[in-house]
Amino acid sequence: MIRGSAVRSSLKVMTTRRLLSSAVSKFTTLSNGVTVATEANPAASSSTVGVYFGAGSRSEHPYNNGVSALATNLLAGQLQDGILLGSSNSKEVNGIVAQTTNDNVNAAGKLVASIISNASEVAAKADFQSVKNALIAEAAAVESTPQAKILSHLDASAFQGYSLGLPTLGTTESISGLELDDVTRHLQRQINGSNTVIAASGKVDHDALVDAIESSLKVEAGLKPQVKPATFLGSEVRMRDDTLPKAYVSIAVNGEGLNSPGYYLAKVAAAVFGSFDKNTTLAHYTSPKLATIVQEYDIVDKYTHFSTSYSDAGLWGFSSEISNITRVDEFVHFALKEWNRLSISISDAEVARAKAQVKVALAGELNSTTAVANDLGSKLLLVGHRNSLADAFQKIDAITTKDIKAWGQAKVWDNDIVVSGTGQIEALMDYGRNRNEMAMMRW
Amino acid sequence: MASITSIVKTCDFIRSRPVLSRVLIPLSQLFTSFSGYRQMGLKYNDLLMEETPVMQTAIRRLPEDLSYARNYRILTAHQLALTHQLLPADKAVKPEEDDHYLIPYILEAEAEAFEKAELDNIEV
Amino acid sequence: MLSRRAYSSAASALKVAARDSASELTTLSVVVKNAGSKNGAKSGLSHLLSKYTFLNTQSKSALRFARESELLGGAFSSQVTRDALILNTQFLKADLPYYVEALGNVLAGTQFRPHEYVEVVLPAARAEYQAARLDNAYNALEELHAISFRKGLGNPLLYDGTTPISSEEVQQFAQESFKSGNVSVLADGANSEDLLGFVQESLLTQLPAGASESTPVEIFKGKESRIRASGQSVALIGVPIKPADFGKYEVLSAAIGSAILPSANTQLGKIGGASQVYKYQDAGLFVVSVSGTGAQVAQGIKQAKKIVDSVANSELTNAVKSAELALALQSSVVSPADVKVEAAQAPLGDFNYVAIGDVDVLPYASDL
Repeated sequence: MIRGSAVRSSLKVMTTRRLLSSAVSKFTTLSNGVTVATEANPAASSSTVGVYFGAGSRSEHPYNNGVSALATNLLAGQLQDGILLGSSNSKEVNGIVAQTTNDNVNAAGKLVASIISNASEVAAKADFQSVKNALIAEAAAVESTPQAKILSHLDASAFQGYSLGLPTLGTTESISGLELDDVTRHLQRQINGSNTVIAASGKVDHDALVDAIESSLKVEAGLKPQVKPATFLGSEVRMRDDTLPKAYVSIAVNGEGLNSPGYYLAKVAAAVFGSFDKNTTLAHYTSPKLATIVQEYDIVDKYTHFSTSYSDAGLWGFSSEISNITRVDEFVHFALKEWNRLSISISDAEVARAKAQVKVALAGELNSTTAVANDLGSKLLLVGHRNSLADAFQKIDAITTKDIKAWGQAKVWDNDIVVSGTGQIEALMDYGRNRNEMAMMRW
Repeated sequence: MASITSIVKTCDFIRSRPVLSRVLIPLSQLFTSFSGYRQMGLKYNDLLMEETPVMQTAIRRLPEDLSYARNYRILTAHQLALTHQLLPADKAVKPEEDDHYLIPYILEAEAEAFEKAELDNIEV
Repeated sequence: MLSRRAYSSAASALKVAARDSASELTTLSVVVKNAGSKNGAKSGLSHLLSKYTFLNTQSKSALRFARESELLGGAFSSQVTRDALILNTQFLKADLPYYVEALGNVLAGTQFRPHEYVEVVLPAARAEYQAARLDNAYNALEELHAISFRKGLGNPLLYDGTTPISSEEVQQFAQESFKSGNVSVLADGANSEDLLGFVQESLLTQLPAGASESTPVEIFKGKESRIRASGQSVALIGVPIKPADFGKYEVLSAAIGSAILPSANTQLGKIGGASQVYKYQDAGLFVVSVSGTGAQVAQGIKQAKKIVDSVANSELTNAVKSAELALALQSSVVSPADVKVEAAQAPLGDFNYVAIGDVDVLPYASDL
């Protein structure tokens, strides 16, 4: 166990008093196939109830790209009677999320249930044009923010030709072409019993909520629409724009999906290299070796290593911002050489550190009732069940350095990469050079 | 080359032993006065090899007055070397003026470097 | 389940409060009140002090602490607000003693080495300021605080580098502020007996007794400021208010469209604006803001003023629930919600006005 050696001497003994019950998740499946899931958090100051259905941009095609986001935005985006309705749009799940005070949870449950039951009518009553314009503005904002743009195009390039590559919110052109009929048809197709989950978190009484929802919910039973396929293609997309102040580069390999046994391995591997921001006080002292290397010659402003997972596919890599535009290749070189170490010489201490950081990050993500409800909803839809945090921790604790090396040798060493860059990327070298950095000729 | 930290430790050891002190310290003082750098207007710490990361860090951390004084002494020494001259006895650096102004900064920088090397290679 | 205890010994009045939870994560925060941007002889002292935290201490170097902390998986950061300096840590439950000790070291044992000031603190502070300065909404809010409160709450939040500050002055400020009367240790997800025990063993008990006196707040109304800037245009109407009025203005904010409850069907939401009540210890600021292009803001801020002036009592009563939700969403371990909402007329009166951006087309306060 890692909590020894240098740190043990300063640890004191803690009393073993523990809270008796852990966060209890309860699940009920209604007769029409809709699952109602709740996680009680007695200390929450507010509660969230959301209805989630498995659509997302993955269910679209290039000509109606954005219809799922438009549909949820038409259904949500209002403040009603102390209940704040928002939308949650991702590539595979859409949700209408209601936040409310703890005494109002059942009313919120009724509200989201009635919205999803009369989705087409509710969407028709909304101000179509203004919601559409707002979504166009959001999609344009993704394109005009370099950091979001490179990630959006990273997906698009990696999964090119498949619907998983479509931008989550759509493009300004595709949204402009959408009509109310498209939205109605989309909702009718996607909302059925086995494709809908209602998730709640906060001071929630599971049985009372189920009763409240069951009375208002009218969703027909049906089969979950088939998830469209996706495969990874090593490729690159360059959106060079010398008018931007920096170079923004992102490189990734084919990662792990939510259902994959290597899901946590990928997360731990990403945490081995971690994130870096040269403008923080932590920059001089942080553990990853890459951070020390890049600071010697001020090569990069910030970078983040990520492991994003969709249901059966994922991306694992980094995204970065570089002001020192003549050093773009230096940074890519050192980052990819560090990735090589994942397969060869990663140390026990690095893996232990990464495991601890992943655990804290996973627990820290679930820091609001909305985050918990979104997690409940999307995991139930995409994986079919939701592992508790304790379960996840167990799986992470079981990871050894050998496992990480094996994963690196399989998924990172000499694997195809997808490169995405914008800004002043003249110094970002050709695909062949970067692809060759994924392995070393050592003998 | 031994680190300044180890040299300082050795010196502290010598100073703590009366026999060694009585023998080695006068000898060392004789040696430094014959070295001649004081007649070039330099202090001992000006002579230490500065082309290492630790020394560069230590020099960078000098307060302004010490830094300007150091630079002036080095300039003076260059001028003297160029013109093949030495400073007269009253202008030369006196033994009591030859303080080790840079050593604390070097020790701190070395401690940081050693700590970093240890923590970079931590065993779990 | 919130247990509040004042831990007292002969010399200190440190506040320690903890709330246990089922999650595996503990969030431990230390709030040093009267050490925010409103305090200090020079503006920016608090921001610089926030950058000096978690660096070299008497018992542990900055590098060692950072490496050990990352090995445990924990994260730490410090934050400056107008009222207080907040040290945040987040870690797995089992590491509570380590972080309590670390926080004690930060408050009572920071070395304030001069080289750290030059190498770490100043660059980080400068970079944070430069990044914040790019946002016109931030600049507008700072200006609004400056004209509404002048000294104290009106001080800039971050160090802008216009007045040179030495590391000795930052150390002096730390000595004045890190007193046990100012310090509260707040934990979410920790056992309160354990926390008390560890606090007793840490250096937090050795903080000097006493507390900084808070200077009285002066409020100024009817002021106006215009700033030419490129980028987004922002117009703010601000009403400085007393803490007793927070409830009224929260309801008003929820009724017309609050920034905490973003929605398209509220009156302000429809014109691209929002309102918010900034709550501080001794005063507050009710702000109505509109942002966008110069033309949008010019029209929008006039509409916004009309909306605020014409709020009906029925709208206020209907907004009480939304206001409660907004307060619940804003409450956290470091700033628990303790405002009682009430539906009552909350007039703008003599308001303050800031216009930033394309100032040539933005209206004057008298035009609204």
